[in-house]
Amino acid sequence: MSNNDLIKIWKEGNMEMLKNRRFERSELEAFLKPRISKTTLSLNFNILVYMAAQLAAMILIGFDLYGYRSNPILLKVLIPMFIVCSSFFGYGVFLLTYIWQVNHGNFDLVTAINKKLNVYRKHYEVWMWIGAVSLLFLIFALNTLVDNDQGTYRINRPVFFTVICLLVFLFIYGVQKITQFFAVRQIKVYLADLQNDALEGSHRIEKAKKKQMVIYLVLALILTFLFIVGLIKAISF
Amino acid sequence: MVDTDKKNRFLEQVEQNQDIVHKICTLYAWNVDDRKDLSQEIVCQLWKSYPSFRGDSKFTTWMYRVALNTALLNVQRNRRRVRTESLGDHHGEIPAEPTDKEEHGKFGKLYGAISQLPQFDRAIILLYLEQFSYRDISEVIGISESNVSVRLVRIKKKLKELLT
Repeated sequence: MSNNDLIKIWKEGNMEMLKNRRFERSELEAFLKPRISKTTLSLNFNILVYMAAQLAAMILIGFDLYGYRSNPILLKVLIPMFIVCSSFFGYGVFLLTYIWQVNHGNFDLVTAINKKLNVYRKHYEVWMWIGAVSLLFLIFALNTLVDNDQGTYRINRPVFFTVICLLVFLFIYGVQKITQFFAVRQIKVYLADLQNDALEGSHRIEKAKKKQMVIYLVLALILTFLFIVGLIKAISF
Repeated sequence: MVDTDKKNRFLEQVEQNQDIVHKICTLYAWNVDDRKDLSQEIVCQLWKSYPSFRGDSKFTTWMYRVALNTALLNVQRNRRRVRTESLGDHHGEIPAEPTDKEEHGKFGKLYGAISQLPQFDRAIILLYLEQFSYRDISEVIGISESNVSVRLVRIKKKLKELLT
């Protein structure tokens, strides 16, 4: 069979097959109403939520800057915090723009896949760390605002404070990572498969899925148990 | 007014070239519902990407690029496909539908053989069969012309093996 034969079979067969398959103009018009992809929605939603937290933190830090204007030590803390927070916000804007461009751009297949992978492998991973830091900033800004005692703020136990901050930070990051881990990993594996023109990864993840479900279940049971113990202790206190 | 004109122009062009949508949907979707979903997504994505069409390439080339991107990067449907594949124990099964093409002997076999190729190879052979030049294929896919040529030799060999 020659190459021309392949093309001939393809042409004639398609002519026959597509004879009865036509979309009406009204049908095409109805198709233009966008359907929201759950994945993109949750990704964008997550970015927007943390951007809102960053904005709130920036406003609170602004109040703090006024409240602690005569406290040089806190000014040294709050000013860099404000700068970092606004940089995070800028990164959020960049990320939303980048995702919009990936979804609306006119890229070739390989570039589109690489760009999508870049979002999930690099930017979104960075964003999860940024999200955790942003919430920590928000909490700190709120605390300093509430505890403002005529321009002074005191941390009584610095080591304990640092440990708690670190734990809160890790907790926020961990919650994000766990809740989005499977969905993001699935997308990453699929895109990597496309990139490698192979499907081994997708098969592998299907097998890993069951194992992960067991781990999640055990974790949920432990956390529920700890929560109930905590509640009982609190009630009896 | 301008938007209505633009929309009408777009719909007219898509209507004229809707075969592209049908061909890609048949190659990348597994049943009637999936094909309908994919058709909608492709048309919707074409509309969203329409402002990026500057006329540097032919409308059909641009349309193939966006439609193939949508078909390959649609993760939601992929999840379903991955599940089907893991159940089927092998990927690239010939879609059960449409039956009409299977009735057409050689064409049905050709479609079936293309469906067994990896997704990227499917896109390359589709463009080849649509008589795109190597240059146009390389533009749509994003690989070099020499790479297109090497891959096409391999794909055609594989297709001929599957067809005999």
